[in-house]
Amino acid sequence: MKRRFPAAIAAGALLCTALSGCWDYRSLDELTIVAGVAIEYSENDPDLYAVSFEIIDSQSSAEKGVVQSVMLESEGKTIFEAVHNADKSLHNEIYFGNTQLVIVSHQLAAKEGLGNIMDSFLRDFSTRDNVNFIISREKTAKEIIQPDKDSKSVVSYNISNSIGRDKRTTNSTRTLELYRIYDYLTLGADNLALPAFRLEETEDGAKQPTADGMAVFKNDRMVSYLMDDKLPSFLLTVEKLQGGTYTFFLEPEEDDEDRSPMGITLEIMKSQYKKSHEMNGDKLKLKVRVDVLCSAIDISRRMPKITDPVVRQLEQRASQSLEQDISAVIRGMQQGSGSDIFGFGYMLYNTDPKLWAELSDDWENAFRKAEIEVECVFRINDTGLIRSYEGVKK
Amino acid sequence: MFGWKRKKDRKTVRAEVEKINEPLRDSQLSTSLDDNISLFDRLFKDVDIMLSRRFHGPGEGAPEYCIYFSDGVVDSMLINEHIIKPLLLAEHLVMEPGVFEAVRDEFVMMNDIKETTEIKDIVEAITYGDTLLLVENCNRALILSSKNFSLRGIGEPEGEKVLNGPREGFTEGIMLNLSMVRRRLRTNELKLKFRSMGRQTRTTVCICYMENIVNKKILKELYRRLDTIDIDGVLDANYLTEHIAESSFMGFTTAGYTERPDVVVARLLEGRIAILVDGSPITLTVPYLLVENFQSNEDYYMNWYYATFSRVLRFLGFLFTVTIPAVYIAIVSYHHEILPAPLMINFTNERASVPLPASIEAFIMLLVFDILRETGVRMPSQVGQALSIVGALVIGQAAVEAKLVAAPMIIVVAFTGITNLLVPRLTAATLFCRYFFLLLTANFGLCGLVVGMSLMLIHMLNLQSFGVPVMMPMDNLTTQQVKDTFVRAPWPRMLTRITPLTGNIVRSRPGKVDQKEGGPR
Repeated sequence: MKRRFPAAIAAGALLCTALSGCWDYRSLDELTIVAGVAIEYSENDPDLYAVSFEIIDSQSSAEKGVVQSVMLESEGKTIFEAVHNADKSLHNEIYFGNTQLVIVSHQLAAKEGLGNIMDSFLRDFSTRDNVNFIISREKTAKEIIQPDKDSKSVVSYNISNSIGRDKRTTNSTRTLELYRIYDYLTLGADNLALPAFRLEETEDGAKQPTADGMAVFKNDRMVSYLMDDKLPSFLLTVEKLQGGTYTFFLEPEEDDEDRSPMGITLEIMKSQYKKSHEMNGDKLKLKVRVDVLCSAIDISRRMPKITDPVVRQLEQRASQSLEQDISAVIRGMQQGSGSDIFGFGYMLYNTDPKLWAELSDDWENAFRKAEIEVECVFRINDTGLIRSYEGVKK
Repeated sequence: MFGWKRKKDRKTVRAEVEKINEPLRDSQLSTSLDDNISLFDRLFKDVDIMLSRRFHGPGEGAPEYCIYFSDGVVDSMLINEHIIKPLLLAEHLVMEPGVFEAVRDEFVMMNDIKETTEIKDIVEAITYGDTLLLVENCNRALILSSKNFSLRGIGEPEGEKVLNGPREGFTEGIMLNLSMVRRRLRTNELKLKFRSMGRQTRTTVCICYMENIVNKKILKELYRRLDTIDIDGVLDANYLTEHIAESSFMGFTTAGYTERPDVVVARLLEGRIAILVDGSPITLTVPYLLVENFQSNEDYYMNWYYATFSRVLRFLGFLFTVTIPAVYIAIVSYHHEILPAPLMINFTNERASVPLPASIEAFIMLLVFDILRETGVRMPSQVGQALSIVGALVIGQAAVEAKLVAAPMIIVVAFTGITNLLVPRLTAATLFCRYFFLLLTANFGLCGLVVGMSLMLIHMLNLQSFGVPVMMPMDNLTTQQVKDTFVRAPWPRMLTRITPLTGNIVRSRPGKVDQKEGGPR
């Protein structure tokens, strides 16, 4: 009994050292928190990488009571060297645990690809695996996250938040985290499409980073952009959306004096997608079906009184319109870069491994040649109007 | 290593003790009144409070008497009217064999009379307010109960206040305390056994239990342990606790204490044994299970929803008060990855301007809090205002503003202190565990905390109270057994007592009033 207590303490201490993978002591005040990283080629020497860090300025944040960030720039022959150089210029250790955003310039993404960068982030730096990767459409990457002098928030966090909640709000871009990008690149079935950002000037002259289309990749190289107006139909085929809108146009009625098309905006409440395929002889047919539950939020005043048949008709027209849009996007990809950003390859890999084994060697070609069938079903849950509303048109 | 020395020490102490007690041990009264008087005069030499009066019965041949009593603890009127007066007027009483019996049976008008020959018993009795009556030529004496001393009135115990329920609390007089217990249990099954503890204080200790409920093995074990106590004085129940209850190096208590008769009675009804100590309002109850630390008598007097909620809060309170400083240190020193970005930035900003490492800061601040708490208990109530100003403003606000301490640390310490108050009976254990866990996490991060918590759990599982494992109702998770642990079930649903405490487990019978029947409609 007498010896048991010291023995227990000793055993506990030994267990602590053995069980703990990583318990190196690092006090919080010895860390420099990196919120976002921008990677591009150096302007002076195209052989060097320029890495810019948006770091939290804890000193002035503590003094002013708001969180402020500053930029730290460094260059190096490799990305790791650039980070190492940045670390040398700081008295604190550089800490990537709270990094949420990596911006790659479009030049770098097009020329060298993401593979190298991904590798550094997956292995060297202790970033989380859910860090967001985006592409800069501006001349440089760092200007996207360059904070204003008296900004009260961290640009990188704002961007990553806006990407993260997009699925539920604006339906204008898509979050792709590090581990998912890694999946895309290693599997080789689908091609990547990463959010692209550019700066938009606001009324008071400040520059605001805004999502603008998506960068389409082939393997790990960026090849083209998918324009902003095509994104809603693209996103409906790859994400289960819970928000955002879909707008389509109706031909005016015969007795309508105004001959311009009537715009109808539907608010997406829930969406589902299902992809499948069919082999007719050696002809591959790729099918995608999209189900959308929505409410009509913006209906032209020129519409007749909203009755059930009218709603059914709207549903039908919306479905037709979306079918055309999706077909156009897929056809665009087939005829353009040949990038399968829709996940058909992944679907084949999952559902028909034999076929995938045949096609995977030349999937790009198979995708280009494949016949596409799109089926969309809209269901309008409510019209957002009081039922007895007669409409303005009389 | 020093075992041989300790053994020798104990032997010498025992010999000395026996020498001290030698004059009184086994010494008896003599037949000569003069010898007896000179004996008592010698025993109570320089004890000016001890009074004696020698007197004769009326007429020739009447016996001579002497009474001894301690001034201030006796009822003089009673002695005058019911002892001295009848004997002075006892005309037919003459010196002859059987005079002692005559005095005892016919003349002394008292309800509580004890006959003795032992000097030891007499000394114990007359120092406690009894009157000694010596009769000429008799080697026996009468001890007549004439106690009368003032005690503190019955009030609500400061440490165990309740909103609902009885407000009576124990006082320092054991008979008064017993009366409060006795009144609540009007059955012959309530057994009250007296014994004297302490060589010098000869404190009356009363062991109470319900004959039909108590576990006899536990009772036997209690007597065995009480028999081993050899101490000069027992001034409070804790003198006994530390002798008889199992000790826990982590500071968990293995004997319960309360100042409330309703609590004592409730515990007696669950099969526990109560030990009342004269001179102290604190009553011990054994065995003491761990879950009792989280129970309050008010749980049973209030709505069971509320009681269950409060009980869960108390469990959480214990968990928080022992782990929060440790978890905070582990996170800011080792596991930053746990923190979401906004919290991480806040903590970093706060920590950025503070000189000391977080773990040392935590030790200092916890110590400061303990100092403040201890001061609060010890200080005269008039300086309370000053303390709260110094504590709250100087040490809290000013330290943060002067960048000596990070603000989150103050919050951590304050939260630790407040949650500590949720489990007032676990103060020693929380104190030990808090610093122990803090030490472990300051060196090993969260792994240290896991090891520390495991040690605590192993210790709690090993700990026994009078042979009953303190975790008892928790290891036997049948529906009935947990109805008074994490939750407090409604009374009609609590059908049994906890098994290891008693063999008589049925507490109430199932059955529910049909509320739809009867009533005005």
